[in-house]
Amino acid sequence: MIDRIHPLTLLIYFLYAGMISAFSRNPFMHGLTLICGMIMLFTWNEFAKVLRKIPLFLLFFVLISIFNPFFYHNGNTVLFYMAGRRITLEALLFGADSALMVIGVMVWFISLSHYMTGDKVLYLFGRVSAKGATIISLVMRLIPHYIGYIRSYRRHQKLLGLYGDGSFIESVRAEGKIFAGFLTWSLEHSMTTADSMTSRGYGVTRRRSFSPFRFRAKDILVLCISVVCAAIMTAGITSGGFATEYYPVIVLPAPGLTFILMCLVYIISVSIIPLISFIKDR
Amino acid sequence: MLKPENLFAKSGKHSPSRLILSGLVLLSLFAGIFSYFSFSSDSEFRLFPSPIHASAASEQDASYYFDIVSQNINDILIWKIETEGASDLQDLIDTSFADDPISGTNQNYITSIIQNPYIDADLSKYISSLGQALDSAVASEEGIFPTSLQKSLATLKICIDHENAKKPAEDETKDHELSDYVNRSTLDTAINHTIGEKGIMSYIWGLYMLDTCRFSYDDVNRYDYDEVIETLISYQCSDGGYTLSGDVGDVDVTAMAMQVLAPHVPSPLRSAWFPIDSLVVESVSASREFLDTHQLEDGDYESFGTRCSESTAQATLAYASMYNGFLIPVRTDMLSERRLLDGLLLYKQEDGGFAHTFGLPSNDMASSQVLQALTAMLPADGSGSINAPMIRQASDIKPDPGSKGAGKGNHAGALRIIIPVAFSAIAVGAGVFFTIKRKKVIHLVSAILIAALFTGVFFALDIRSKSYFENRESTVLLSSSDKNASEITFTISAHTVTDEEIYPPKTLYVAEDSTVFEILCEVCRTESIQLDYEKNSVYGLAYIKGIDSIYEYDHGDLSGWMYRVNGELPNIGCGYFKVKDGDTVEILYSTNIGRDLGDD
Repeated sequence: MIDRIHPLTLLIYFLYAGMISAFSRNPFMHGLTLICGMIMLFTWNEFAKVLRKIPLFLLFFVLISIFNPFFYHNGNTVLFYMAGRRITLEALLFGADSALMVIGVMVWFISLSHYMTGDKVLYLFGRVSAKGATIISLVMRLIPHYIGYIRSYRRHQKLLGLYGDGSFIESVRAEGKIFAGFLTWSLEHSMTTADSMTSRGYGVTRRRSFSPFRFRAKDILVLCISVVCAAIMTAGITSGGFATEYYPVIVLPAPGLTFILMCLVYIISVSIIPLISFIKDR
Repeated sequence: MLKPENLFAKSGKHSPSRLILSGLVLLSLFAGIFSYFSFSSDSEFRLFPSPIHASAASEQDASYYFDIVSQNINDILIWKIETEGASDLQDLIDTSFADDPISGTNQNYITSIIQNPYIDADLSKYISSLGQALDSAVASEEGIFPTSLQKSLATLKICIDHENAKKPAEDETKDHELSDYVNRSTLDTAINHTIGEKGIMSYIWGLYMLDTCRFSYDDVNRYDYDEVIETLISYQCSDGGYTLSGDVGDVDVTAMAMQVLAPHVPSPLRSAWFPIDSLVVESVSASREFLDTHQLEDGDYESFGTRCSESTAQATLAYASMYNGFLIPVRTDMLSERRLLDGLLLYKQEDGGFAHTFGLPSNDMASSQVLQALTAMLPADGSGSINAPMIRQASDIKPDPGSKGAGKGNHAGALRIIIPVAFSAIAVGAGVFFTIKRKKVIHLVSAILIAALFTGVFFALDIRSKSYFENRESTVLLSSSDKNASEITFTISAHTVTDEEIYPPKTLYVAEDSTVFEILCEVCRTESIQLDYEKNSVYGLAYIKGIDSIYEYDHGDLSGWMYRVNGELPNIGCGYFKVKDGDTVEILYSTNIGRDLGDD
């Protein structure tokens, strides 16, 4: 179902689901976003593929967590001193919270990039800037294309025995040769592309675009859920009593009724759409 | 998928990931080296402990001179107590010294402790231990080195005399003698079979033994003395010095020969009666000239081309012995004029001990000889006013626990070795594993490079534990007794935003020419106040971002930390402003870029 909804609805829904908790400064909300994002990943991805991503997430988590205390020295609980400045537990936990938030957003955007295919991007942003969208879509195509070309070039060189004897200097020289060859080819390729675009009449008359996307009733439903829930969440977050104080000592907000209600609103609004999609697709 | 072997090389033999990895490692190494140099310009970070320089010669004040001497004696003894793991000085004598009584270094410590009029120690355990050790060493098949026996016997005699002197006057019991503690055969061996057995040193130590032990006439007669002295003087080189071999004098040997010959110089009241007397006077004068001419600019000496603390210590003892031999009327004036204390202090290490020469850590032998030399600089009768802390009773616990970083320093030091070793072990282990598995040396090389990188970064970042860092001795904040200290009033306050006092006004004694930034750092360090700053160690620029969790921009766009000296806001950075005596320094939080602090 999700892959057939309108691109605008899709974008707003994912932005709401992935980014609303980023403004809350609350580790529980960040964790909730991450969990819902993981569930979203499982609905369209293979189980084993998702599991294979987890070590990468953990690495990101550790890196972002330990990054913060080395640059921000606020907090009362000193772990140790580095170059005369204190490294504190508070800064470390703040880093961990930020890492949770970043990974949560990242997980949601993995799903977004899966559903938001190139034609949808072009449809959404083609009207804003036609040329920009064309360049973006060209570039998006070119990067995997180039990588594939370099790989095949290297394979050919090895097959022909031109890659060197395996020593460090020889392999550097061979890589240089491959790069030079690739550069020549890409210039030639771009000229061919430009020629073929000209011969097909690019820029001769005013451009028209075609898209198969229609705004249907279910789009209105999803859009309504996203916008209303986003409004409720924003109201809840701005009403206060929701943010965590990290410095100089950590003060977690007491989980009041507003907090529980907001968590429920978020869970229901975010999980209902993948759930329907999952059931319908079966 | 992230696997550790992927970090080193892809399964493909010629993968570019290897190139990228090599580039990254090289880049990181450059970064590490750069950061090391940028940090090493910071005075906080040093790879090797460097000698502490103190200028005593500029101070003519006698009590100040004594204070430095006694402070350094105290530092050496505390260093020795800590390295041996003893609880106090008495414990050190009873366990560490008594376990190895024949060791020359330990005997140096013992004689220094005895000759120090300010220290009172109980040596009974050491005496019995030394006596037994000497008996068994002489009786054993391999015997004992002649000079070692001579020195040990002299030390034993000094210890016995010390214990005898402590006996109350009304005590009628007989004084203890050498023969109470060692066998007759040991004494016989020492008198008859050591002098002259091992060249010039056995004459020097033999004469020392004869002088100290004062054997009865039955044991040794005047003729023996004269023969020993004459033979010793016959070793003198043409330049006035003595040496182990060759014909150019050596400072160490000359100084030691002087120490034993000087007591034989006749009193000025008595003309040279015996022909030997004039010989001794000539020899000692020539030796003194030798020492005078061989003193270096800094006040120290060199032996065989290497400047070392032992030579300086021996020279100090030689000059001091001339006082006992009626050659110099006032000892301390002479010693300070020769700048010998300056020469000795060149070798002082931060842990309190003394090094053999520059760039080396504290050394037991060097410290023991310097201790002897410093003890010789004290007033022999225990007079004079000494203000500096010194161990006065053997059972005294360290008088100033914070001063030298005691056990905490050792602990932090161990941590600073264990962590890089662990880094290296893990990296090298991984490297060896992959080398065996993949049969490629590049893995091992990259692993070693990564280990070196981690170690370098670890040291460059100067990671310290909280207790060590906050209790470390300060070079900026001084005690009120320090003569070089400037007296300032210092306060940290954010009265514009909070009623809580961060650091109420207090009088501080700071080192001359210290900047506001240095003082602030030291105050926050010792008082455990949170401080965040940016600093460029090359230009000395410093910017305070936050104190006590109150940060810049916390109270509006124009808020931040400023400082005020004597009621005015200086227009230069706090890393440049040097305080003067009597200044009032305030670190204040402004919410309106200084306008609320009285700046127009």
